[in-house]
Amino acid sequence: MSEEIEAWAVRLAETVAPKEAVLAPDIVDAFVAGGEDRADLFRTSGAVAAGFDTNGVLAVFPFVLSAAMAAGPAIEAFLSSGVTSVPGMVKDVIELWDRYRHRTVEEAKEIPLGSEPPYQALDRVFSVIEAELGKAGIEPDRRELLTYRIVRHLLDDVDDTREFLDAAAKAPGR
Amino acid sequence: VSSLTRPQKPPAVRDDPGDARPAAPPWALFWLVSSLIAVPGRLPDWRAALFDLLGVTPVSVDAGSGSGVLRLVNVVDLVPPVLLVSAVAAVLAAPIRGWIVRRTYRLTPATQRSLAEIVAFAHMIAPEVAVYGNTRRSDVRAFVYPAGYRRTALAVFGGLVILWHDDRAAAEAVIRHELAHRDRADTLLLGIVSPLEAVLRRWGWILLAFGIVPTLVAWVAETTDFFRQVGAAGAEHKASQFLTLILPGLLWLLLAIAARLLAAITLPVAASWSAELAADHGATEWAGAAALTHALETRRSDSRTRWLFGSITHPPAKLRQALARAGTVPQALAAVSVYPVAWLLLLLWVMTDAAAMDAGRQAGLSAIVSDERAGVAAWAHNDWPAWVAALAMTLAWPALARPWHAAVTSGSTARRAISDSATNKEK
Repeated sequence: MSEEIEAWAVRLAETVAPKEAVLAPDIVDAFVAGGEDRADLFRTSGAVAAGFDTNGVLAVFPFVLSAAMAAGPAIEAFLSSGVTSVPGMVKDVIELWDRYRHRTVEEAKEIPLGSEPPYQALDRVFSVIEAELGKAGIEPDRRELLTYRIVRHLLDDVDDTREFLDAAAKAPGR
Repeated sequence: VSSLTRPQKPPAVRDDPGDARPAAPPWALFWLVSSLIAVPGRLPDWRAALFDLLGVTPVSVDAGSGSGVLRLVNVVDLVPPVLLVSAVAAVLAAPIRGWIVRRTYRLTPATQRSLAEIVAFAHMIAPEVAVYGNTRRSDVRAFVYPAGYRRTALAVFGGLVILWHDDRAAAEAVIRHELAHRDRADTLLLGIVSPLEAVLRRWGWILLAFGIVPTLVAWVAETTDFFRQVGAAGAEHKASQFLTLILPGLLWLLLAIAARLLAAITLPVAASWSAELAADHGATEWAGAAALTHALETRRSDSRTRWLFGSITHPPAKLRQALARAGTVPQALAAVSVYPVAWLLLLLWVMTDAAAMDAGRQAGLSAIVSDERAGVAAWAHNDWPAWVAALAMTLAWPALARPWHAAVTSGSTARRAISDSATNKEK
C-alpha cells in the first residue's frame, strides 16, 4: 500500500466523513487488499452476544471507496474526454451540483448539459456514485452532499485517485 | 457533538484495583454450581425424556400415527441438561473459545495507530488485560472474551474508534462496561462464543422446531387417520370436534411446552441480565449515565422480535438506559435482585405448565388446584437450599466482593508481576 493512497484516503475521509478519518488508512488498506479484508469492511454480524452491537455497519467510508471504485470507468471517461484543467473540471462539478440541488432530478435531467463528452461523462460519475451510496442505505439528503464532495475530491486529486483505482482493481473483489 | 468541540475530562482511574468491586454476585456461576448439585434429583426425569425421544420407551397401542413425531417434544424437557452441558463446556473450553474468537473476528494485537489512545485508556484501568483489534469492522464496538481460565482479553473494533472520536465519554463507558465483565469473571460462562449463550439465544428456534412443528404435524397425522377411518362423511363431525376439542387441546399443549421451555431458560437468562446490569453499573459509576446511555444507542431501532429471539441474554437497551438514568443504586439493586426475582417467574412457568396440561386433559377445577398446590410444593422443596445459599451470598456480598475480584483477576496480575520482574532483572 503506497503512502500516497493512504494520504489520499485520509484527505477524502476528512472531506466526507471526518469522524472516520483516523480509520481511513486502515480502511483503504483493507479495501485495496480485497478478499476477506475488504469483506470485513461491509460485514454485519448482527447481535454480538457480549458486545455493544451497532446494529449494522457504522462506517460510511468503505461505501465511499466502493462508490469511487464503481465510478472508476466514468471518471476515466471524463478525464479522457478532452477536459484540460482541474479548475475547469471542478467548476463544471459545482455547476452541475447546483443544477441538481436547486431542481428535482427530473428537472435537472431536462437541463441541456451539452452534447460534449465531458458533460455526459461527468453526469455519469454523479449518477454512479449517488446510486452506490443509495445501495448503502445512506439517506437521500446526505447522499447528495456526499456525492458532491466525493466527486470534487476525486477530481481535485486526479493522480492519487487513479493510483487508488488501479490498486483496488487488481485486488480480489468483495 | 464532536470530540473537538466537547471539552475532554481526564479519565477517572482506579488507583486501587481493589476498588473495582462487582456490584452483584456472579449469579451465572451460582446457577451453574446449584444446578450441578441438583442433577441427581433431576436425572430420572431427564433419562425418561431421553428414552422417550430415542424411541426406547414403547408407544401405547392406541396411539395414532402422529405419536412418533410427538417424541420430539421431549427435546424441550432436555433443555435443562443441554444448558448445563453447554455451561460446563463453556468453562472447560475457555482457552479454545479465545482462539475461536480471535479467528472468527480476525483479531490481531492492537498495534494500529488508530487504536493507540483506546489501548492506553484500557491499560490505564486494567494494565494486565491484552487488547486485540480489528479496525476494519465497524458493526461491532468492543467485547471481552476468555483468553484462558483466569485471563480475559479485550477486543476493540472500528465501531469503537468512531465512537471514540464522536463521544469520548460514551466510548470510555463501553470499555469500562467490558472491563467490568472481566472484574466479575463473566466471560468464563457468558459472552462471545459461549455455548451456553448460544443455546439460550436460540430458545425461539427450539420452541418452533421441537414444540410447534411436531405438535402441528401430529395434529395433521391424527386428522388424516380420522378421515381414513370415517371417510368424507365424518368431515362435519370432525370440524365441530376440531373447534371444541382438538384446537383447545392443541393450544394448551403448546402453552405447556412454551412454559416448560421458559422455565428452563429463566434462571440462566436472569444471571446473564445480572451480569450486564452489574457491568453497566461499573460503567455508569465511572463514565456517567449520559455516556452509557449514548453508548447503548444503536444505528437502527431494535425490534422486539429480534431481541426476543436473538438477544434475550441481554436486557433490552431501553431498560438499561432507564436504569442508568435512574442512578447507580437502582442499577446495583436490579443487578443483585434480578436473579432471585427470576425464581418467582420460574414458579409462574411451573404453574402455567401444570394448569395447561390439566386443561388439555379437560381436568376439573379441583384437580387443577390440587396439581397447582403440588407444583408449588415441589418448586419450594426442590429449590429452598438454593434460596438459602442465594440469600446468604447476597447478604455477604459486600464483604465477598473484594476478595472475589482479587481472586478472579489474580491470575493475570501475577503473570504481569512475574513479567515485570523479569523485565527489571534484564535492565
